[in-house]
Amino acid sequence: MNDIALAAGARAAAFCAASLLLLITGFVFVGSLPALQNIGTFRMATDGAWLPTHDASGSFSLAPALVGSLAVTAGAVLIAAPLGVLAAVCAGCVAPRGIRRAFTLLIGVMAGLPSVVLGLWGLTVLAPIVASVHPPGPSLLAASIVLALMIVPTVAIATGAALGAAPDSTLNAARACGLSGLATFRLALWPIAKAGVIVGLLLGTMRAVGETMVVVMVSGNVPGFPTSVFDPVRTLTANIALEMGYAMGDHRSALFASGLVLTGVVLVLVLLSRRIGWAAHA
Amino acid sequence: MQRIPACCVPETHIEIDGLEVSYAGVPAVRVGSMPIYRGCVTAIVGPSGCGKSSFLASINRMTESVPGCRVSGSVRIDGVESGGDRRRLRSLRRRVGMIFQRPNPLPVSIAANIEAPLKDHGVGQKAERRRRAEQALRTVGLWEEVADRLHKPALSLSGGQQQRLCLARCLALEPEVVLLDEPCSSLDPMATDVVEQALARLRGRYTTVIVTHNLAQARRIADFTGVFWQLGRGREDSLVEFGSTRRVFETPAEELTSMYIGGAQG
Repeated sequence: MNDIALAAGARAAAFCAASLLLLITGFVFVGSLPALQNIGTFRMATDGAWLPTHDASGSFSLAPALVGSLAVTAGAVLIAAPLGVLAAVCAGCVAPRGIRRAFTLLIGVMAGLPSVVLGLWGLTVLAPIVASVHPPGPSLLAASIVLALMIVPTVAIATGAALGAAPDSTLNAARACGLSGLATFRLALWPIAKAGVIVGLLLGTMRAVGETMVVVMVSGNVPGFPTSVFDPVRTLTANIALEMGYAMGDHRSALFASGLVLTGVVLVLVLLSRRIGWAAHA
Repeated sequence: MQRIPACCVPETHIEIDGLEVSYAGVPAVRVGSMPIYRGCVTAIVGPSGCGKSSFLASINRMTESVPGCRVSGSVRIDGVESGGDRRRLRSLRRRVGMIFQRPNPLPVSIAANIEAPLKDHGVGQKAERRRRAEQALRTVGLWEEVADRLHKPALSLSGGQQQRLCLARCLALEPEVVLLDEPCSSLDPMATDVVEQALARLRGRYTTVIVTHNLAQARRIADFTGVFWQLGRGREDSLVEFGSTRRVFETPAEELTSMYIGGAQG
């Protein structure tokens, strides 16, 4: 009897979660329908600029914001990947036990740090430093660095878990052959951990793509194609957050379309990570 | 009278002296004195939990990576105390190879399983690594089976093939001693037979110590046998009896030995 109730409850919860997700995606899609019909995907891809209230017809290109999102994310992942992986390797394989414990605690705290706090630091400390190298400061580079700090814990935790998944028997093989630390990592740990590390990187990428607060605070928010890392950029997420308050009509609907594009990017990343996960288990 | 197998010159290669391995302060195995003869196959037999594997692991100091494990006493290889710092440990592990109960190939290709450890140990030339890999694979009778798929993952091999690959990986490093911890216990009888044939080829070239639950196997392949028993209930030394395999099996000197052999056979 209890089992039946539990199964029914679990099923109901799963159904609710899945249908909520579908509902929200559907809601975003319905919201962007007017933009898709009145402006059209062609104009949203090629209008050249995002000036929704510039004149009567406006220009609604999502391309600068998409490029902004992808550039900020790529920058963040490029910085966070080596940092996170090396930190986890160091903590997992090299460091003494005490430091390992402190590191794990620190990473946990860092993972839970509200992004607005990181943004605050980025805005008041990092942006002026960047500005001293090349003005204006709030820029693609600044946003990438702060986002990188945000996703380092994700990458480090995933890498740590992946390295921990290497079976003792494999490690014993490496020990019994008298392998050096580097060879042990390359031959015994990495081949098994590889897939987990890549999935961790993709999870980090998803966080970076979706992050709003940090980029609103430190990216400069100028909608345009960046030509250098010191240029300010605007991301899809920031676009929605900044303009939703006053947007109306097609403008408002174009913001929904921004959300739809974001959802698409994340969907691709999810599918990619599942594929890699499956490939590793096959 | 103790009959010494013809294949072996009974020259002590490894000398165990007052060895004790303990986990979290509880002694698991204690061996007052035991010789391991050069070029011979020495079997360690005894009931589960008598410390056979701990004894074996103390020879190449695998015990050092077990948390809470302490080893006291002495293990001398060619008169030199084993153990020491990381660098000495590395060369010890190269000289004293080990095969485990469950085959544990590295999760890389068949060829890399043998060649990468060689490279790590400073065998710089690729051609030399190739040559040694082929030779080792031939010694364990695996060459014909894998020659056309050396770059396939080692984990795609069958259990028996994996175990022979592990043996080849160990032999390619040109050890003096090969330690085997129940190497056939996870294999079916046919794979066991093939692995045993490979082990038979080691006789004379390597000093071999094999822990086994299988008394028939000890009888088939070992020149010398040590019978181990749990410590406690007045037993202070884990080693009940040591001697040539034939002598231990045919005319056991200790009551425990005859009971164990008789029980296991009857």
